[in-house]
Amino acid sequence: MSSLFLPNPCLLGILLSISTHDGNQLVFHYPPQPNEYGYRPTPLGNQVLNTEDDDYSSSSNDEIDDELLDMNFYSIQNGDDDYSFSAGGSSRGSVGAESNGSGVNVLGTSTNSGGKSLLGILDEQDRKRKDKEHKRRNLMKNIIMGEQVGQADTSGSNRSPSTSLANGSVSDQETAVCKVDKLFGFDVDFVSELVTPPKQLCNSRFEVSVEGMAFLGLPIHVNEDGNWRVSSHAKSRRDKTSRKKKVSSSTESSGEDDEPDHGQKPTKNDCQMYMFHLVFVMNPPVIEYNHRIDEMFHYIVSRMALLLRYEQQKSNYVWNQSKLILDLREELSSLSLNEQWKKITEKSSLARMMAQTFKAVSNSEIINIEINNKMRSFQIPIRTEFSSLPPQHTQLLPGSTLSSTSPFNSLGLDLHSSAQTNDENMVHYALIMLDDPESVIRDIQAERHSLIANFIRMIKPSESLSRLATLSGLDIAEVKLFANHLVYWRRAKAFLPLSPRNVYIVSPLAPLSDVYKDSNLFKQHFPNLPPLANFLSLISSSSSKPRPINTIIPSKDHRDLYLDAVAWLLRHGYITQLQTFLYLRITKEVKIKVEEELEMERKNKKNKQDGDDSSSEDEDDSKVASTDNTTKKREQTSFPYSISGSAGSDLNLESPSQLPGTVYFEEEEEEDTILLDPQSATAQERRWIAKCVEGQPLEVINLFYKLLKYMNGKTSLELLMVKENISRQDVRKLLVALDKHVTTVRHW
Amino acid sequence: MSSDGFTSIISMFYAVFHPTEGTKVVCQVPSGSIVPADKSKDSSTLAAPLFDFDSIKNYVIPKPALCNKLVTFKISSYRVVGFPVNIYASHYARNSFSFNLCFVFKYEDDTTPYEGHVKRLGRMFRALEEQSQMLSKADKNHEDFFKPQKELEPKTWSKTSNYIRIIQDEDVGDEVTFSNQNIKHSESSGPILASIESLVQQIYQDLNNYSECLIPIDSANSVDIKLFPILPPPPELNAYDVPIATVKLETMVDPLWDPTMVRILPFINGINSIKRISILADADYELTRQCIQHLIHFRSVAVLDVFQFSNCYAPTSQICNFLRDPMMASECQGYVISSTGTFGNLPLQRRQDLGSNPDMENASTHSSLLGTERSHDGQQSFSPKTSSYQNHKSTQKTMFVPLPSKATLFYLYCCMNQNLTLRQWHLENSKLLTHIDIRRFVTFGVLRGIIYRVRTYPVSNKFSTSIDFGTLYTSYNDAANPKKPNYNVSVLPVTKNIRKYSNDYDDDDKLIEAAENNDKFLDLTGLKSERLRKQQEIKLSRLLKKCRDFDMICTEMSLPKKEVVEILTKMGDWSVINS
Repeated sequence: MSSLFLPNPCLLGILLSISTHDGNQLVFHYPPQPNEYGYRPTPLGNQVLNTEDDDYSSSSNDEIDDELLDMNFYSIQNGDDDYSFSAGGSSRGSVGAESNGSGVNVLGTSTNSGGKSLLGILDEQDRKRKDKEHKRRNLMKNIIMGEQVGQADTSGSNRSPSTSLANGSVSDQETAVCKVDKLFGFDVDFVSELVTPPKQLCNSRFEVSVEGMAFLGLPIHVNEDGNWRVSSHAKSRRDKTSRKKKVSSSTESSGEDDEPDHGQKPTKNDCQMYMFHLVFVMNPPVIEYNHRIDEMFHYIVSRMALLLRYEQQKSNYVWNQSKLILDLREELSSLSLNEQWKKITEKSSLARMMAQTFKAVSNSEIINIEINNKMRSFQIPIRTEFSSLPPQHTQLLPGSTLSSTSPFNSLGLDLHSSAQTNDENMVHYALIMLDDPESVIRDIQAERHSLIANFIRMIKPSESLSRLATLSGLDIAEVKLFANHLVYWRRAKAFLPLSPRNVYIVSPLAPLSDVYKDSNLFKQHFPNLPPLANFLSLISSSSSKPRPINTIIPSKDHRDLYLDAVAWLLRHGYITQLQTFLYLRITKEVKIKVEEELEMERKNKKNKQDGDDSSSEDEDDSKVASTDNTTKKREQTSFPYSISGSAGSDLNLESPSQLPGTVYFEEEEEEDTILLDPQSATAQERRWIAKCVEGQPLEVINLFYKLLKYMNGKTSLELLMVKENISRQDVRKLLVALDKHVTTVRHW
Repeated sequence: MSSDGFTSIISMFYAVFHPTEGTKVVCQVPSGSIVPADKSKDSSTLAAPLFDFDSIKNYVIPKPALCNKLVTFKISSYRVVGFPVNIYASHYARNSFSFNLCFVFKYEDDTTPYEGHVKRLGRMFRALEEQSQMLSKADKNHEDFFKPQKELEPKTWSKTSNYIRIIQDEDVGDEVTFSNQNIKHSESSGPILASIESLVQQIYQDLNNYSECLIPIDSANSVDIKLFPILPPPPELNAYDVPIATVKLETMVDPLWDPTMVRILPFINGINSIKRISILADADYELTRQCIQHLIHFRSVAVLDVFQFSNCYAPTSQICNFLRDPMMASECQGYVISSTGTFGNLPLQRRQDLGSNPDMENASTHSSLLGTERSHDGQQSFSPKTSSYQNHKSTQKTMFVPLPSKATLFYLYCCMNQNLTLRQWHLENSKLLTHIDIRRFVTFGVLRGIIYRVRTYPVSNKFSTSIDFGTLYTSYNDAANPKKPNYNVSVLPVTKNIRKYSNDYDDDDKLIEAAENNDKFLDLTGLKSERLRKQQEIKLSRLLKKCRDFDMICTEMSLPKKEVVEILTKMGDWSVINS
């Protein structure tokens, strides 16, 4: 599971195949010469948190590691999407060989350099665009890759066909390969046949895997009425009748012979195509197979296929583009493969879209494509927010944040439920932009003075969404929508509004090994603050428990500066907010008191009734048993027994009298109990609760009952104060007054 | 799901390419699951097939390019896993014979445990078919699969050629094409296979019921399958990680075990770090680490951190599970209770000052009680090996040990925080901790994820202040020209004797060392110890630069924390980050 937190698209290539009356055709694929790895899955790397154990290996080991990393990192930068081309696999191989100290893979390096020279031209602009996050991700990727190659190399014999193929193609590059005969080890014709399923398998998820290589797609077949989409509102009578026909004849084997209304719709006049299929070829690691395939299908494949279907329906887009690409390929067939591909991607928007998609997905970036002048974005969401601490030794993306309460946490990450945009707590959160507002506005191509642009400019880490709504005059639902959008598209992160009273700790996920590297960046932003390491030290090492951030702020004038720094640290995952959670604890004293009262009442009752002595005594006994939580053991032999007997007894008071072993509890000694859900307390529990606040001033009691339902350890006090609009002083007063009865826990 | 947690097989079928009828299902389990079957023969026949077989024909028996590979595909809500085989031989009616034994699973289930076996089965059937046409002849009308008899050698030949065949089989086993001579017509020499149907039936039932099967086919071949889960690779471990057994390892030892494994086993106790285990067991560190990784892979060991009273722990967001999980709290009670508290069975020396333990004097008398208790609670997941309460003395005296209440335990976990060392925590709560073994208490919390270890990272103020660490770091990172320092050399008095020692290290080590050496020493008598100190400083500064925590630094340098702190203080200002 561990590495599932890291993006790993393992995409080998994208294919577009169509079916016409003349047969199947593979229209376009990207990259021009994909690597196939001999059908093998991506080997799963060990998760390395600390690569250095230099005491036990050579003393300069970490230097080498770091150098390797850098080298690797540079080679990827220069080689630009190395892995999009045949060189990718080999470069992995060569680096791995070095790190294993077994010499350089000559074959690999030669391929690598060959790949570089080609690619340099192709993606010049792309290279410049690479942002920091991307670099970091590459680095991470390489850490993983570097570790796994030893494994890959051992099975070198398996691999040799693919490598030699890659090598061959590179050497052929000079003599201009103009035609692709084989793709992924298959004849091109066979590939198109493989990804052209019969009609029954169309319009639903398609997946065929050959050994470790998967062909994933959503084949779109034209409906029998000639429409590509099933439109909910029938446009004409003809539409209706034809759809009826479709229902009745749904068992027909294929629709290829079914083009009766061929000439009736002007847009489909010249469309001989009856099926198209955008196929993603992947080789996910064996144990992540289902996860990676699901992820890709859900976020990219299906959405993209539906988009193409929409465009095909509207303007015959896929067919027109396919024709264009096929014509271009014919026309350019004398050119070398890479020039062909370059020209085609320049001229055909569909081919360009495939190329862009491939590159972006391979780098786990957001895909921004333009079809018919409309901007579309896709992404596989990246997991950078965690509600609980992932297991030790799990590798995460640097800068991941922790919060068990944030409603933004699982945004878009759950495959099976749509994003919950209507969480009521969401409005109490604030946003921290991950980027400069103006560049975000530019990136999302919003109008400079549009609503969202103005909204983005207003975002401040100290203002909650509800306040932003008031300030901007926008509807709160709209603000939520914008906020969701920004968080989902990796532009912002959500936190509780910053306040100098908040308590922050250095996050257990903090990327501390980068601390000196980031120190520079921190200094640029905050030249007047202590260096990053010292600043973190200030935050983390106060006396005996974490304290509010204002204890380190020297004066009121420094407040904004320090809060800005806090926002910066939150954004980079260095710190996390410590929140307070409350539990109601019923002490034994309270229980005894209540018990006594009950006793009194019962006695009074009994005196009134003066009968049925025995039964009420029984009742008494059972009562004792139910609330008694094993405190003293009389006999040694009973010891293990009473341990198991007490298992889970004190927490579910709903089922009393289940506890055995009352023999050993002559002394009535009660035990403290923590109520898990005070809101739905039983009658006895309600008496206990009432007892807890007995004798307190009225305001404390009122506040107590207001907060009672939150005393279940689920809602943080910090959120409560914003939500219920309670002042800090009142809360403090309450906590002091009920010190004995409220157990507080602080975590994120 | 079968009982072992493996996904169960929904259906199995065996399909062949018939020379005249095309792809067809020869047998299927359960009956009627793939193609409609005759209900009169089998009452358990499914009413309707799971999916439309016709639409996947081309994937069940694909073109030769896909054959002899594991092929899986999705059809409606199922995943079909198969290994299509195609054999060329001139004696077949179409010069080739194709078949596929397919397994059908739920689409979303994890089929990885089966995949290797499907492949192996396919290869075995291929070999059987090549050797003796076992599959093609199993068909009632098997003549369909072959060319008319007259083309073949005279029948008599085969009867006399048993001997020849055996020799030939060895050579031919792996070849794709077959010559006519290999065809056997005599039933006697062919493998005994009642029917493919019964074989498929048995595989299906055994795998679903027992997750394994042992089905003999003939004297030389059998279908032996045992399902194993495919587990992710274990994490990379550090020298300072502390393994603790989650099963009773010593009961599993086998004479064939790896010698290192056997050797280190007694030292896996939740106290010793991996490095320490390797030293104690006199085993190679690297091998030790790999052994522990193996144990982790099979989930018989979990990883903790070194237990020290200077450690800090803090609750995680999972702390609520302590109350919500009905078992956790009582398991905790059973695990942490100790009549004598943490220090009861230590030969108390220094630690005495940590907590006043009123029960200490009684230690020996009560431990027997604990001993019995421990032997009873077999359901504990971690073996309490180390805290062996060996003292089996008197049992006459009865002793009352108040079981710490769940609320108390919860409270104790809750009052840990990021800045509170265990020492301080113990002092604050010593009354409540009288009958609790703190180490076990912490171990339980960490393993269940309700508390986490707050690691302490020393940071040198030098890196962040006196040197512009940013430029330094970039030059450090720049692998191409590491020898080009950008820093201001004038502030760094590089002395000669330092250079001598730091030859092995690269430039910025010298730099750091130099920077740390602003206050020069000139004690010639203590030169040797000074050298040692220098080397330690170099090492420490390297670790510091990477921002490692104290556990790692201490393990790497093989020094107690106290001495590391001393060196750090000598090197200049430093502070800590608790994370």
